[in-house]
Amino acid sequence: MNRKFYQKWNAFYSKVSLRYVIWGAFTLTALLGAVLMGTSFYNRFSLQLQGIVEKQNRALIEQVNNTLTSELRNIMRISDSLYFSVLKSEENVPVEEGFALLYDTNKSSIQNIALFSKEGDLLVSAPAAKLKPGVDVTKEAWFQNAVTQTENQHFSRPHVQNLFVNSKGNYAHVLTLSRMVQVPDAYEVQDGVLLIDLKYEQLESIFKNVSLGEEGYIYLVDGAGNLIYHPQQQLILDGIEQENHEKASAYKDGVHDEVFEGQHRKVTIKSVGYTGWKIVGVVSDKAAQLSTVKNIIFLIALVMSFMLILSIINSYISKKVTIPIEHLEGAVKRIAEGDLETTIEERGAYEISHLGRSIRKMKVRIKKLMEDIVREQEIQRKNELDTLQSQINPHFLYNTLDIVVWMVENEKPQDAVRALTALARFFRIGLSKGKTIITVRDEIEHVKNYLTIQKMRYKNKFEYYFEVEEEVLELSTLKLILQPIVENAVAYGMEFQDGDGEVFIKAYLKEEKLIFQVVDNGPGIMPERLEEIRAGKVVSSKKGSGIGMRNVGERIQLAYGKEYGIQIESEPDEGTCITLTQPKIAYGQEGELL
Amino acid sequence: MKKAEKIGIIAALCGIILLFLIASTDFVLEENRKEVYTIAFVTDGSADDRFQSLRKGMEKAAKKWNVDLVVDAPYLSGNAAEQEAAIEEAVENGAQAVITVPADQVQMEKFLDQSKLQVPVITLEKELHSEKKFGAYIYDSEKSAKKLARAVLEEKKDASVALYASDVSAKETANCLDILEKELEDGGCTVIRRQYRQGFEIEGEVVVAADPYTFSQIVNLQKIPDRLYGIGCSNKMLTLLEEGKVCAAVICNEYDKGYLSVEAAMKSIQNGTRQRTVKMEQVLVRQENLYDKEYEALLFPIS
Repeated sequence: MNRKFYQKWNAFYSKVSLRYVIWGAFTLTALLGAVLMGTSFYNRFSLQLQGIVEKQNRALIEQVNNTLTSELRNIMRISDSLYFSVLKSEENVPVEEGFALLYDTNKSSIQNIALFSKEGDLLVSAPAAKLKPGVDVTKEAWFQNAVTQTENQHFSRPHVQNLFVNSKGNYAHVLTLSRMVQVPDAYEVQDGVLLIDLKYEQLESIFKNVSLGEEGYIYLVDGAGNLIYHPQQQLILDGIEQENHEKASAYKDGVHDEVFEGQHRKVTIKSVGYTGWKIVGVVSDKAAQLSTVKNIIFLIALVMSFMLILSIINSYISKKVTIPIEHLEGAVKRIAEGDLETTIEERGAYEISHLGRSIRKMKVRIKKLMEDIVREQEIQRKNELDTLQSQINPHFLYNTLDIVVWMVENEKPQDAVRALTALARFFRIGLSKGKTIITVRDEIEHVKNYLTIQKMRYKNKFEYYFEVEEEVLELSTLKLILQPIVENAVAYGMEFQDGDGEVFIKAYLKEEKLIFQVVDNGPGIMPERLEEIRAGKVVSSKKGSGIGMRNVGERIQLAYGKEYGIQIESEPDEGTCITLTQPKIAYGQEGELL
Repeated sequence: MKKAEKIGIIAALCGIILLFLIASTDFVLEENRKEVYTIAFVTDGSADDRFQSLRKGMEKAAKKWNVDLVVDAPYLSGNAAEQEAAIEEAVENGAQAVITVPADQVQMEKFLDQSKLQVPVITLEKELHSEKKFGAYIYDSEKSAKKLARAVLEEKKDASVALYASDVSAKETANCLDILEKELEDGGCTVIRRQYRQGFEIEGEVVVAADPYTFSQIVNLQKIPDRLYGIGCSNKMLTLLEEGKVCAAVICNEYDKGYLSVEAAMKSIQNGTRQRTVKMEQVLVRQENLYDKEYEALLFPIS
């Protein structure tokens, strides 16, 4: 599976432009970086925001606690005032007046003030009111708490005020503060219970407008987990909504994480003094998050901007890098198609420009090599044509047949036979069934037949001598390379000799090379002409076979390389020595040029 | 740069600008916008204190759902035609749903079927059989009747009982009357049915109000029958119950009824959801258990 994928990937990759690979790689890397950085910053900011929100919530709850405590302390102070300044006053202030005064002063927050005997009889009340018939206060929880725990003041849970006759039909919710008191002697009782009903709406007003964010809220719960105040209190009591108040009442002061009804929440707890109540602040985890729709859209827009800028920069850079490569690629393509005149630019980064330079040099070299090949092939073709032509050179044939005719006319049949035989052998070896490589033996034989005829033609003006080492006879040589040299030696060296002309033809091995040497004692070659011949400026003469020295030299070099070829040494009036060098190759051996 | 690349860059730029506009302004997306819904509550014209707890529940739900609660009532108490006019007016003024306590069930059904009203209608205390009805919160007429009958029989088995109701054609009222009659007669009582009419005297040794409207009207009379039983709740009724002038009452959680009716109206507006008819849980309350803890939340909701 991996291999298949790898193959597919490679197939795809080989078709994609380098520019887009670079652009894509840079852009993807930048995107990953941006996403990573963005996520890290987002998380960090979220955490910090959560911390700030928590801190603010704690401060807010502290403030609410202070307000609530202040209110409760106020009521307790009223209770103390009622007890110590009214009931226990030594100034004989009428209790009813004291109660009425304190009630009037605080009626915005107090529903009722009342004093009961330990048996549950109403002794004093403010505002003045009658107890409802059938009401037995001794069964009420606030009364029992006051009686059983005499040292404390007790706050009850919220309840409907049901003690006094209610002519207005209002059923107010109250919180009752009760305590055990010593009743003045005027009432002929000892102990009693002092009651102050705090209006529930007074407590509600402290909490109602407190907001802990969009989904946050605070509520008040007593030590047993009963709700004192909750924004959804009625709905919770009716079972329509739910709250985790029972568990929350057991939390210690501080911030707690909880999961309630599938929602993660942060719960801040603060204990209220005097009462054992707890203020509970609830904030959803989502509230302190940055992930609103608009924030997410903003983040996406920011990332896209960043990516667009990077994309443009990447595109520019990749273009800068790859365009020179593309030009090079185009140039190489054109070169491959045969256009060696195409321009190759040297631009771009160091490596690319160096590559361009190298390709340009390579192109020049290829062009030169191709030209060399064409030229060499042209030469070879020409030489082959010349050689072919020489094989049936008519001038030599005419001249030789003329000699034969003259010999026959002059009754020299033996000479004629010898001449014709030499001629036949000359042409036989010259043709050699079309081979370009023959044995040294055959090449020497070819020259011998040539010299036999030429000696007759030149009426014995010269003598010729062969010095051929035995060991070279079976080596390979290019066909028709010796005869043209001998032809020149005879044609230019022996023409004006008077019987003392000499032509030496040598064949030997030297340093593993086959050496043919033709030495004559003719007039030699003038230095200027010699230079011209060596420079190849002299067009080969059409005397004799017509191949010429240049042809021979070129053929040797074409076949065997530049270290082989022809050397000419000549001294005017001394003679000329022409040396042909070929590699030592046994006839029919590998490496032989056929 | 190739043409395709230029087009791509321009398109990306336009997209980015658009996203920034969306994120930074309220032209396209208003994140914190809360739609305000208008719901009309059209009563049957009975005394305000009858709906005191109900409205507390409604207002609680209205705050949660961002509802502008518009309360209206017919000028004449129990007048069906005026109630229908009030409903039409409320809808013309923009009410997106209507909660109503039908003064006359049959007439209300006709009105809704024939009218061009295109808003959901939630009814309280009576169930309509109309295409336009999206929910109803009612008393369980059978249980109410049986509880009341039991309360009457516990006090006096062979009493002469007058059953009063106003909208006798209403299915729940008719059912309640039938069961009351049967239960009481089976218990040895003499039963007589009477149509409640405003201004007319209430007669009978024992008077049972078989629907909340009638009950609330009777408790507000100057002269209240000696032995009065009924269905429904109001502050006045509670005071009389406390004083012993009302012997017993079948009461449901009015606060919850109000809350749930607004919630149902909201769901109807938002999703077109139709609520099934809900029969509210009810309790029999007497003087002696009026302040029982289990009834305190029901009778005296905190708001």
